[in-house]
Amino acid sequence: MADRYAATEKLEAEQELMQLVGFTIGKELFGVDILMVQEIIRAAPITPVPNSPEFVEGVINLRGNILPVIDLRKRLSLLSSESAHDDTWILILDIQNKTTGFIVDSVTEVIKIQENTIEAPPDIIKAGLESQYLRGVCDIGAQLLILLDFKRILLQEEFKKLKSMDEAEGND
Amino acid sequence: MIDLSLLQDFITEANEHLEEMESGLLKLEREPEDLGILNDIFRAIHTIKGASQFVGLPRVSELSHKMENLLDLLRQGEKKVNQDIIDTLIETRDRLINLTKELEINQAEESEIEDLLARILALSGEAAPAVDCPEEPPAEASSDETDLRSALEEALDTSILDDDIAGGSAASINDDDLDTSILGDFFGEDPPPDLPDQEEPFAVSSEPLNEELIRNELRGEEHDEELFDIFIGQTRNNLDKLRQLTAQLPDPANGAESFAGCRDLLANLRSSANYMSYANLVGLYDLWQAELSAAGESLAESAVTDFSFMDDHLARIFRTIPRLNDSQAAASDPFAENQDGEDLAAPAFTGVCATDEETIRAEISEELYDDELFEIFLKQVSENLGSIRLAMAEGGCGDRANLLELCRDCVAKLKSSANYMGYANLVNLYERWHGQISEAGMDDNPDFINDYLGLMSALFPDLPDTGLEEEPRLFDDNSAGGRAEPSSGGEGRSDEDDLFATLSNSIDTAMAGGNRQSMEPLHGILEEMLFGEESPAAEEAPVEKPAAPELGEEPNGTESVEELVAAPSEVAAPESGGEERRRTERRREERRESGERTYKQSIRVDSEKIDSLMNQVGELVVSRAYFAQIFNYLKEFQQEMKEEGGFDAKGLKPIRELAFKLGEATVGLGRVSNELQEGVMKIRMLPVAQLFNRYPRLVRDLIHKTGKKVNLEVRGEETELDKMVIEEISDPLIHIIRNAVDHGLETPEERRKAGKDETGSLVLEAYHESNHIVIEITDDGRGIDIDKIKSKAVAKGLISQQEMSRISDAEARRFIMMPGFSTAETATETSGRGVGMDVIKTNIEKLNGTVEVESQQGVQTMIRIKIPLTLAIIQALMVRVGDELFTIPLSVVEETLRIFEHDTSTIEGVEVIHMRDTTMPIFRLADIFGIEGTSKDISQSFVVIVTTGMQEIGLVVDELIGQEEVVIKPLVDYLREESGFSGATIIGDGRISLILDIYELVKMTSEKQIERSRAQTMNRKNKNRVIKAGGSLKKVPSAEAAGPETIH
Repeated sequence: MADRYAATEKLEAEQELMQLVGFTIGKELFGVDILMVQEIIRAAPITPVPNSPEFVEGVINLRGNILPVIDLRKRLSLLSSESAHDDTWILILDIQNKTTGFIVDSVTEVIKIQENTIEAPPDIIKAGLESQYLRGVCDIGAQLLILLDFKRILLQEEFKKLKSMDEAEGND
Repeated sequence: MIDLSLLQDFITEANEHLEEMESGLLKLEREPEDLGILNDIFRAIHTIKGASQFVGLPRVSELSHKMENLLDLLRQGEKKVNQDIIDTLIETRDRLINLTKELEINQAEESEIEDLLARILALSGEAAPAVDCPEEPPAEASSDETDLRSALEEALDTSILDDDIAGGSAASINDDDLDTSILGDFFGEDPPPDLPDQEEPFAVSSEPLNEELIRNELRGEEHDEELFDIFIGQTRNNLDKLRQLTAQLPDPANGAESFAGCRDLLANLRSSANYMSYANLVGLYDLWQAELSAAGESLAESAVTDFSFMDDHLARIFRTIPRLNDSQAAASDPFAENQDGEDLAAPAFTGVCATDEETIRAEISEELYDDELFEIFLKQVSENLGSIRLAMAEGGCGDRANLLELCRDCVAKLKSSANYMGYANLVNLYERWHGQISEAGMDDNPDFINDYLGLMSALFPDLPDTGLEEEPRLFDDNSAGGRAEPSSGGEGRSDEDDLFATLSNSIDTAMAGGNRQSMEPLHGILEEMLFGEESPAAEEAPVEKPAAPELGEEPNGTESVEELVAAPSEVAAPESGGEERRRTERRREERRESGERTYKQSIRVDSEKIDSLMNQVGELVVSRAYFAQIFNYLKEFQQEMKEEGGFDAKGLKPIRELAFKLGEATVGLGRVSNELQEGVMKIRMLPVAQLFNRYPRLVRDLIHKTGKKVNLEVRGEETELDKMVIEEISDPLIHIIRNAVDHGLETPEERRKAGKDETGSLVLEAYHESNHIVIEITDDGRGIDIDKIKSKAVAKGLISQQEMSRISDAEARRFIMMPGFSTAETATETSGRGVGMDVIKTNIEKLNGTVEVESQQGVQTMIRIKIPLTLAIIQALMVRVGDELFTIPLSVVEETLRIFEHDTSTIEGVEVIHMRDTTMPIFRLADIFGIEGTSKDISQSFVVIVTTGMQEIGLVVDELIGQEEVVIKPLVDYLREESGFSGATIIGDGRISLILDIYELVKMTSEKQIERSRAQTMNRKNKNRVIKAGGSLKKVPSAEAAGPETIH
């Protein structure tokens, strides 16, 4: 055991293992760097915020701190193939000191991948996912793991653009 | 290299002093004669100078140094305060602020200071006496920065050694070589010239020696002629005055006065010598000072006091510094070598020391204001004394240099701890000791250290390990290694009696050798101890003395001390002038201490820590609210049980008791959390003076620019306000004050024509009004021209002519807060671009505050800012819309009411209510926020009337929950911007309630309504007639207003 552990460590050092928290939205498997994940909570009562971008589900009270919660499905404009079930999780991520919650369908175990196995995102992605939010994809055998670029997902300009688009639509 | 940790402290400290200095300078400008202000400024700059030298900031220190020089000239009345000087001083201060800022940001000094240095020098040069330095024009702008800097560095270096020559160790007597070599070291590049009289002096007395040293010192220091000239000038000035006063001293009528004058002059002299780092000269002054204070005591006792030592010293100084005589023929004096003997000075000296010891003891016993502190102090004293003693024991046969080094360190430590405790006299004692050690050379007998140790033991009899039994042995060891000590024969005897005898003997010997000054103090003590005690056993002295800890209480045998030694002991002179002197001394001490105490009391805390504490308290407040809520539930439950459960009084008893107890507990919790909240809030509270103090300068600058006469009055400076609020309203206030001076107040001519006082008045006032602070800025200027505003508003298309005729003046005045609105014909340098009031309003509203403008044309304008005391917790009205709870800051709520259908109507597509002969738009929050499940029937709803300062609006909500204190939590940017929410709060049960940003909400909604009404009209018009798209927005609604839908 100890040997194996040592061996793993050695391997890690050599090949720069990356630890990811895997989560699913619909059928897709996504991954986020474990260091960004502050905690994972069960769905908490969400207070909606009127006049906010559509994908902002609202705010939650996490031990006295008020955090925005983003519906990742809406944010990524993923097709909602099946109606969202109640059994959702909220992934609390620390993105450049902005703690934000993301609603996902389920959370998988920690996935270890090697940095060098990450490939650039292919031009066309299933489910119409916009490639700009992707950091890359990684084949983990059974499935294709999609690495998201959360910094991009939270970009202010993107928000504003989306919001004005919303409003434009609303006015039409 | 700058030490960063020191730098941080320096910056904070310097900023404080500079701020203080600014207000001081402005005051000085008004009252140029006020010496107190001048002294305050001087102190501030002096501190900055010292600190900057310590941290190693050449520019700051040099600039402050020069500024200090200039101020000193002002202080001594050599130069009158004029506008030029004030301007220069203010600019210098500004430059220092700049430098500090640069240090803060880049850790480096960047601003050039040469120009200011030249200006200051030019200004001070005019004042410098040009009598004795014709060859050196003083106004010559010395750019010999390097010289000065090196001089400064030396000053720093020397300050360690720069102690009194008076204490010049027992050993230094035969040590000219050593001293001069030290001097040589000091002034490295300039080896001291030969000492012609080197051989003779010490046979006669120590004076020639000292004189020689000083002469050397002065000669050696050729760094800065200019500085030297100033120094000489000052010295001569002071000495002249001193001579005059000395002449008056024996006169009983004004003796005390002249005495005080002498003391001050002497202090001046000493500080200027110290400034020049003439260690020996300083020593001489020290000695003089000591004699003077001793004489002062005897004067106070109305004893016949011999002041001849004054003349003596005067003569000596003049002899020593021949340049002083250039214009002072009178300096040739009859007092010379023969008079300076022990017979004259000795009694005085004895007095000094007796006094010293007594005063120190009084000092120590008197100031037990902090037991813990004192204990620590005692411990340090004992530790240090212990290590000295140990060192002495070892050093007796070992390395003497090391020993001295160690002793010096210890004494330095002792000194600093005594200084910390504010024991001025004790510090003096240590200083003397330190000086002796510093001057003691390798071959000297460090016995004097033992002497001091003895003195210390006497002072601190109850030190844990001041065991005297060790001393005699030490004494032996040392005397063996040192200079011949004729009476060190008290080998191994462990009683003090012998020790004192030994000491006395050695002192006598030393005095015979001429080194009077060094041993005199000890001699004094000895005499007191030996003769002063009735008891034959002299060792009782130190035991008995402390037994009389109270000041003024006479310790045993002091009377005989008086008789025998004929020197006044302070303790024995509790009345008359002595008392007075002591009182002043104590007052000074107290002042210093209170200074220290305030320093101790205030600690700098990372504001983040306070914020997090504030957060926690916020949580507590929320929990308290929750408890109150639970209590109410319980009450309801109780009621329910009674009404529906069919319980009788007996069955209800337990629950009633529980409710009662819970109620009690809730009240208790409430009380504590209230106090805690208040306490934490108070931490953040600062007097608004911090803010107001920034403005005199602003007004001054504005006056200079505009040529107007303005008198700024500040009231209610002590009103306290959250630090963050202070920061936030600082800029808005600048705008308002600029407006007031630039636009509000008229030029002197205009004011004269209008029959007003030429000098306009500008009043800044702050006061509390319940949970708000109100700041009023009032000027008695031309006021706001309503007609001008109205016409401008119409011209800008902000309002139609008809509407304008309907609105009140107060409403019209609100236009000045519209973005881009300015009635000024042209924009000036300071204001008039129309952004000011808009910015003010937005900033104040960010703080949940309001701005009001009141004005009476031709009489005055008043701007009133009302801000909640703190930003973190606000009073709010909680309302329900659908299932959601919203929070409306109480500061914007005007009233709440119920309305009925017939009260409402729609004008221009906007729902309005009629109220007291006015109409007011109403917004249905449910519609704005897209919340479903609310009743459409308005009669079921409530209307909350809110004000944005500009207009009043009714918000339709489903239910009014109540007034609550809420803790504001921030929302992320993208939820706050353009959403109509300023933040969120957590309510008792953990749910979140969003806090409405009324201003933003109204803005958003109005925009939407305009859009919507435009869209509607367009649609209708497209249906009814053919009209070109994009028709004028202004006309469309009014066309519609005439339509059939409108009900008036």
